[in-house]
Amino acid sequence: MKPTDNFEKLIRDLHVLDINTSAEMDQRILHDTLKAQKELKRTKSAGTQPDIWRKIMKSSITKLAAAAIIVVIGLGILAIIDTGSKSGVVWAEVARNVEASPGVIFRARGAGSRDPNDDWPNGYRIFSRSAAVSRMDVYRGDQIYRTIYLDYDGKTTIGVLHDAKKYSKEAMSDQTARAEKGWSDPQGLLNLGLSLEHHALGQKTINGMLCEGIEATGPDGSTGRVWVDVETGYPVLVEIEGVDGSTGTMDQFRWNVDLSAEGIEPEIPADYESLGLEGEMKILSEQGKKELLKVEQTIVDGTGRMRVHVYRYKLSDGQIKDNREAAAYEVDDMAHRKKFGAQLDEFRQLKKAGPVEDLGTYEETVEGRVFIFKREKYSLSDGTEVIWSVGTPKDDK
Amino acid sequence: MIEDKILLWKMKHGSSDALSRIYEKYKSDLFSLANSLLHDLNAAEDVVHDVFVSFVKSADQFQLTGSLKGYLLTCVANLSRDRIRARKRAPIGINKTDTAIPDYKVPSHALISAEELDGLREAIVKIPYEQREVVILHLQGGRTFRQIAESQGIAVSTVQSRYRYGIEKLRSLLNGEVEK
Repeated sequence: MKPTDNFEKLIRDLHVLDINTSAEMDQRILHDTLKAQKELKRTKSAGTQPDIWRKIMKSSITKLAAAAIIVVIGLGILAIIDTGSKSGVVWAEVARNVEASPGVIFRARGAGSRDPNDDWPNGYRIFSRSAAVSRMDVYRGDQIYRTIYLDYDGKTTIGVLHDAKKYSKEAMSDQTARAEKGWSDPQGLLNLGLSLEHHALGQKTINGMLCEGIEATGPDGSTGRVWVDVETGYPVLVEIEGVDGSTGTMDQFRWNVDLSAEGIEPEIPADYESLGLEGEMKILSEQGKKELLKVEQTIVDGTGRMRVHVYRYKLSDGQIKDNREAAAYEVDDMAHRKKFGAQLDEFRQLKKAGPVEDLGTYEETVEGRVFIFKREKYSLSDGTEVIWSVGTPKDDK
Repeated sequence: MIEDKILLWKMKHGSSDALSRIYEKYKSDLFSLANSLLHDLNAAEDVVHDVFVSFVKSADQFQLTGSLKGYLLTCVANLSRDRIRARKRAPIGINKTDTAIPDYKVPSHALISAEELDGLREAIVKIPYEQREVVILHLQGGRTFRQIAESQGIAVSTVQSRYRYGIEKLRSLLNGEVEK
């Protein structure tokens, strides 16, 4: 075949224009990309971190559902300081009931969301919330699809993808934990309640219960209607209309539920695969539950210093995982990094052949443990001098 | 698709492992596209680098509506176009001594000789950029004419015309009908 015969086929099927990337290219790009990701994470935790709850659910309806609970309490608090209700429902009592409830379970459904990832209107979600924990089960039809569990005190998040038979355990930042617990913050709710305009809807019977309703408009223009059982003084139905045309309904409320006794932490079936070990390792790392096994250090021409720590983790499923983690990287200049990256391959080859000079050993205490470092000197073809040190715990000797 | 969604979900939650896997999965496609468009491996590396850094920085706002590969290819194509425009504005006489040589993947030698391959690669560089972009995105990137049109904000018919002219020009170059 000549290229003129069918070059379209050559490009499309034989991939004659495809190229291989080199290890140096990969290292340069991945280093900067991972660094950008790390910096972003740090910025988020220091600033306004979008909470994981909303990021996962990505649903305006769900946001409204969470807001609706705030509306319930906020309106109640407003009623306490206002003139009070002149009808059958004592709204101050409703507020007290809601605030005193240790936990609540309810169903949420919706329609009209523009988010293609949403399950509305073919599915529903079951929420279990208290000040300490929160769980959301997402159903498509009658099949459970996802479970998201947040433990504010333990600062962990568990996500279960039932359809893919996968799960993830992640650490939760203090910022997120505080934000998520905020829905039960009385002072915040009082401020919200004061900002709402509301009016009474009168009475109607819902599922055989005489209820009284109130309608409020939120700061974002969404409208919420809360219907309360006159007899029990607890909300039984919440209806939301978002400014984007989406609607949401929360019903099947179970108030006064002790979620700690219900054992709502999701059980992960044995055949579900972890989405990655990183999540649990991150938690263990923050808790200091890791063992420093080895320290590697590279000094290039006495300036560009890179230090890597090798930690051992014992995971909850019994696995032992050794993880290399960058402890210091002082080669920030792009040109320097490009040069260093290009030298890595040669350096690796030289290491296999052995050092030009053995610089002996020295002791250094790292993270409270004494390490013996073995130092070696290598000389690259362009004259660059690399000092390579590997430290292992002295008490292992 | 589900794998990409899971990787994205993990990446958005700070997983460096997921980000590395996305890079490993698509790096060859992205490098090949950038190199074919720019005909400069160093510039291609810069483009892929900038696309990935930008991808990470905008991950929170990113919503995957199509394929992740398609999204990244579009980003590479858009940035390559910007670089080509900037290159045209740059003064003549840029030092090109550091130009790297691409490591092309080896196709079946029974079908095409190394000389013929070089001829094809050189010919592609010689067709007008707008035509080359469509030809490469369609043949190498696997993008449909409609997808290319949507990503560039032009009519499908325009994309088809550019493709047709590009192919004709390429054929002429390979047959020696056009002065090289």
